[in-house]
Amino acid sequence: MKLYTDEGNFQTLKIIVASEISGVKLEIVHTKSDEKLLTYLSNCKLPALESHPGEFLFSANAASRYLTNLRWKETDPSVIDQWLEWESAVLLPIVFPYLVSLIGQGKTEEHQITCIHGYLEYLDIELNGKQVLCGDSVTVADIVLWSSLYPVLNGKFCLKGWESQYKHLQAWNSHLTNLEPFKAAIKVVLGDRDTSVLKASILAQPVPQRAKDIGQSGPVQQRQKQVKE
Amino acid sequence: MAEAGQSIAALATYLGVKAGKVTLDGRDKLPVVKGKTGTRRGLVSITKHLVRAAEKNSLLGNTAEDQAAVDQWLEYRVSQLDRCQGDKELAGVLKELNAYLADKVYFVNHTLSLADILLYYGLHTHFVGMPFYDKENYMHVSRWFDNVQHEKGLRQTFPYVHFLRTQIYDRMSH
Repeated sequence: MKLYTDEGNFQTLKIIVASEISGVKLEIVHTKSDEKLLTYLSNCKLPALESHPGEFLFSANAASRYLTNLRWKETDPSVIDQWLEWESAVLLPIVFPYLVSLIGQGKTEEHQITCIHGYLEYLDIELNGKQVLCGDSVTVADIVLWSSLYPVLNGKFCLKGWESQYKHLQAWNSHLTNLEPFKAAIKVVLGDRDTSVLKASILAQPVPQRAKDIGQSGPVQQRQKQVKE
Repeated sequence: MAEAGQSIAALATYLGVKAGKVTLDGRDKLPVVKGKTGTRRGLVSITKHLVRAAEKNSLLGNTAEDQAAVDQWLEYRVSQLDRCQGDKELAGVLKELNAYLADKVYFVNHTLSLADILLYYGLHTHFVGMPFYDKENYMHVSRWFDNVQHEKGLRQTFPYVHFLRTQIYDRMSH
């Protein structure tokens, strides 16, 4: 299988961890983020996994889950669904623009920090008494969350003082970071460098959108317009 | 969110299962369903759970490859389609879907899946008011949409969307 990615893409971490676990050897093809890989997508979102020649997975979460499922059987797929959806629909749309501000422009906004603290606290509570997010061993949920939080919790740009505030999260993060597949992924994506190496990719990749503020988007009931044709 | 709640209710009817009451998580803006077997959060998580409860797992894909493809299009519904800010972004989504569907009948592997169902429900509100000119412009999405709305039991109270069988606009002149 081929993995297409730009250099220093933190979303690629997930797929590498998953491939290390699955035992599937990936051929990593470095591509520029403005090169059009998938003919049908207008904005080139990387990474993309070519699972079979010509067959691409452009969702890093779907690709990671695909790879881990080649090795593991999920005991509770519904719980995994929820973590992956929460990561892609809620967490990443906050973390991504935060990293754009912090690593790209060297400043952050108050509300971004507040939101991130809220989510770290939520995870800390979820991880109380648990080594991993679901069941009793690492799942793709841990892989996906760990990867998207990597630059927030580790390295030069990490959120100051988070370790002492969120003890359970800290234990989870250091447990995962010391496992071989995770170490291997860090090596591939960051090399021996710091998280500043993620900058070019973070600034080039499309920023995931947050959910619209429902209060401003009009009536909650059916919005279908009856148009005569 | 109106759309998410509506999609969940319609899917439950299609599957012949109970959806339960859909509420909204204020902070995360995710739909939430509290059921006997626990609380489910998020459109994808809730709908996949309903499919499993109805024992129609083939709608989630029969192979690992198909399951991953279904998952990525479900994520697309939530993260791309539902988050379009205005007509320009919606046009971008329709253009992508149109290009993807150019040589396909369904989103994943020649058969109806949850991806088709949720994208149909999610796109319906946009298709209802769409002029024939745009429907022709997105001809592959239109063909797919028309096909899906004819699936038995899927459309329910969603208004029927009309498509022209023959092209009336000369594409060469644009």
